[in-house]
Formats: sequence, C-alpha cells, structure tokens
Amino acid sequence: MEASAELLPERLQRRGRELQLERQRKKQDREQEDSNRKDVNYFLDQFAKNSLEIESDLSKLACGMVENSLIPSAISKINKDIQTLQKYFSASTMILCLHDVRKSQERIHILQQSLQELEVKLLPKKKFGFKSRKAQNIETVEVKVVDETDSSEALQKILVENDFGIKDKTNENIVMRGNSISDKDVALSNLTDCTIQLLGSPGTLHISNVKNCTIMTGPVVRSVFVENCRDCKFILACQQLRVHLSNDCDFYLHVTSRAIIEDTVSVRVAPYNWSYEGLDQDFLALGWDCKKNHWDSVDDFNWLASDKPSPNWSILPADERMSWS
Amino acid sequence: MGLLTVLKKLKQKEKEMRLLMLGLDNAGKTTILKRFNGEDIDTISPTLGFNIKTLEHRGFKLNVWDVGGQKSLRSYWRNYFECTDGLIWVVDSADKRRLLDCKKELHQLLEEERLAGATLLVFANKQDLPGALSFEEIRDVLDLTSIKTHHWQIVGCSAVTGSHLLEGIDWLIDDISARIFALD
Repeated sequence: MEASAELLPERLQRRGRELQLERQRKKQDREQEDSNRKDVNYFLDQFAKNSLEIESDLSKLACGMVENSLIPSAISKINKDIQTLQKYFSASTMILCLHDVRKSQERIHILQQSLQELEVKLLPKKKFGFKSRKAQNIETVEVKVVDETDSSEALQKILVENDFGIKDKTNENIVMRGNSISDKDVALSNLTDCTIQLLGSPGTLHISNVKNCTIMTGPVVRSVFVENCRDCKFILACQQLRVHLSNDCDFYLHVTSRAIIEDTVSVRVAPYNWSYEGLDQDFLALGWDCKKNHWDSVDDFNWLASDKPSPNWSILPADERMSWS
Repeated sequence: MGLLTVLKKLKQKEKEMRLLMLGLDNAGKTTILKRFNGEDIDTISPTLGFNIKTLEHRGFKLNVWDVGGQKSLRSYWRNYFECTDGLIWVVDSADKRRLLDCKKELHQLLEEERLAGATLLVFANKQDLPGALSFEEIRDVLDLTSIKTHHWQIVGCSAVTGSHLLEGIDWLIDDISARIFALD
C-alpha cells in the first residue's frame, strides 16, 4: 500500500506527460488524416506501423521485459493505443475496400485478444463485479429468446403455408399465366426435374430447393430470390436478382440493376432470350428500358477483391446458349 | 460509454447525429436513404459494402450509414456501431419467409453493448405491396414489446411512395435530441 502511495505523484506526472504526448500525437494524426483522407496507402502504412508498435509492446510485456510496477500502466497504454487504432480505422472505413476493412478489423481483434490474455495472466486480481452480473443478464436474455422463437416459429409457419405458387413436385411441366400471377408474390419450392413457365409479370419470385429444373418467367416487377438450387436453368427478367447457396446453374437474364451471388459457385450467365405472346406488352407495362440489361455484371459477395474477377461465375459461351421459344 | 457520448455531443456546436441503418438484404435500406435524399430509386442494386449520406433535416445534420444486409456482410455491421445515436431497422413487410431471421438479427443487435444508448426506429417498409403485413403484425412477429433496453417505435412506410418516412425520422430525431441535446 505504502509503496503505491509513494509512487502516486510520480505516476500522475507520468500520466500527465503521456496524455500530453498522446494529445499532441492525436492532433498530428488528425491533421495528417485530414490531408490524406483519400490516400488508402497512407492509411495502410500507418495502420501497419501502429499495429506493429502495439505488437512489440505486447511482446515486451509477454517476455517479462517490463518491471512489475510498470505493468498496469503499460497495459493501459497498449489499451489506449489499440483504441486509438480502432478509432483511426473507424474514421477511415469509408475510403477502404471491404478486403482492407476485414483485414484491419481482424488485426485489431487479434491485438485486443492478446492484450486480454496478457491482462488475465499478469493482473490476476481484478476486483470488479461487473463481469459476472453482465454474464447473468445475457443468460436470461438468451433464455427468453428461445421461448419466443417457438411462438414466432409457429407464426411463421402459418405465414409461409399461405404461400402462393408451386411446391413439392417432381417431373412435371407446369404453366401459369396472366392475371393469376400478375404482381403476386410467387414461390417455387421443392421441385425436381420440372419445367415451369410463368407467362406474365409476377411481383416477386422466390425460388428455393430446386434441382434439375428449367424455370422461365416474364418480367418480375421487383426481385427474384434463388436459394439452394442446383443444376438448373433460369430464364429470368427482373429488377434485382439474388442467388444464395446454389451451384451449377445457368441464368439467362434481363436485369435492370445488378445481379448478386452469395455462397454460390459455378454460375454462368447469358442474356435473356425467351419470348411468349404478350411478353413485349408485359415489358412495356413496367416501363422498363429494354436496352438496359446488366446481365453480364454480377456482384459476388464472397469475392471482395476488386482487381481480380470472381471465379464463381462466368459468361456462358454463345455457342452453348440454348433457345426456348 | 453512454456518458462519454453525451459529453462529447454537448461539446459539439453543430447538432449532429449518427444514424445507422440495418436490416436483412432486400429490406429497402438504400431505397429509403435515396428517397429521403430525393435521388433516383429505379436503379438500386444490392449494396456491396455501404453508403453514407449526410442529410440536413430540421436544423440537424444527420450522418446516415446504410450498410448492406446480405448474410456475408452482417459480420461487418459491428464496425459501424461506434457512436451510433439512432438505429434504423428496416423490415421488408412482404417477405414473410424471413421474418424469423429478421427478428433474430434484430434481437442479437440489441444486445450489443456499443449500441446500448441508441434509439431504435423500426421501419415496416413496403406497405404499398399487396401482401405486406401491417406494422402491428410486424411489431408482434418481431416481438418489439419485449424490448426494454432501448427507446423504440415502429412505423409502417413505403420507400417507393415515400409515405410515412418523414414521420419515422422525425420521431427518431425528437427522441435522440431529447436524450442528447437536452442540456443545450
């Protein structure tokens, strides 16, 4: 107790100096940040430099190169440095690509973890009752959520049972047309070896758990969801297309914004080439610009590097394209 | 954290708010942002990453962060939690299949310590669609009444027609300013 009391003024002074230095450094950082906001490389360099410094501080601590009495202040300094780094990173996210954001976030996370581990090891006696209470809170919340999930699962079942569309079919050829689907939310699910034709303009289209099928539709007013599908051919016109958890599918597309894929591989795309009597009117009714078709620009949410194209999708060679009409 | 945020806000001359807009993919987050900002909404693609817009409204400067809702992006949401004054949770009221997903993600979010001080506005979007659930139904399915940790409100709206968007944002601003700028 006495020893720490003697140390107190000294420590305060040191803290004061550190804070001042910190403030100066922060000010400099901010000025630099302002002038270099656009410069991603600057951020990456700075980020790497700062995290290296923190890492070396951490390893000094870990190797026992820091005197026992200085450990708490060393830890709080590292903690502060990590926070500064986190803030710097948060302020810079808007200029970074997703890849860099993820990398930096991982780096910060690793630093935080190793600091925590060291803290537990070097400062075992921490009289702070907050942790256990917090843990309790979380527990009760979790229990509650489980209860609620049951009731809302039931609720959702009822909602989905009223789905409009086609489900649980094998080896069938089904045509839906005109007003029966017009502006409706159409669901196609659990289909195998089927051919489905939607001659008209559904509002949205939700396709899930479909194997080895051919699905054709007139212009979908809003979006098309494709989930858990494989070995299928889709001939779709829509505003937005999202493909999740699927593989080995060909898409013949007319899409007015961009198509996206996520957790999906072996997708090939080609331009929309279906026609039926009334297709032109259906297109016209939506007021779409027929020339605006982004069939060949697919965003892959699992492929964040912008300098290389995603290996998960490709353009279907012209001589392999099929015709449907 | 909460107190620090308040002190920091008090120091700021400008009445600035940071709003974070989240929700499942295809909920209409970007459409809401663009509609509110008076931009074209016909050519919106699924958000790969995020959009940020600074809007002036009723003398407040609103920094709105619109972060993509695809599954693979949700793990990045946490990067945007810091200093959030208001959370706007957008729901596709016509997407009945994923309401449970939507509920799970929302309640998970509300346990985040860094969002502890934030006001929650739920937009039950796409009310203009024929199959849309009403905002009361969405409130029940998402079990909003069980939320005791945040000030919350649900508003049925349509980003496409623009209906009730202002109403929601105004409530959010009122609630946040009552909390943050009270001592001005």
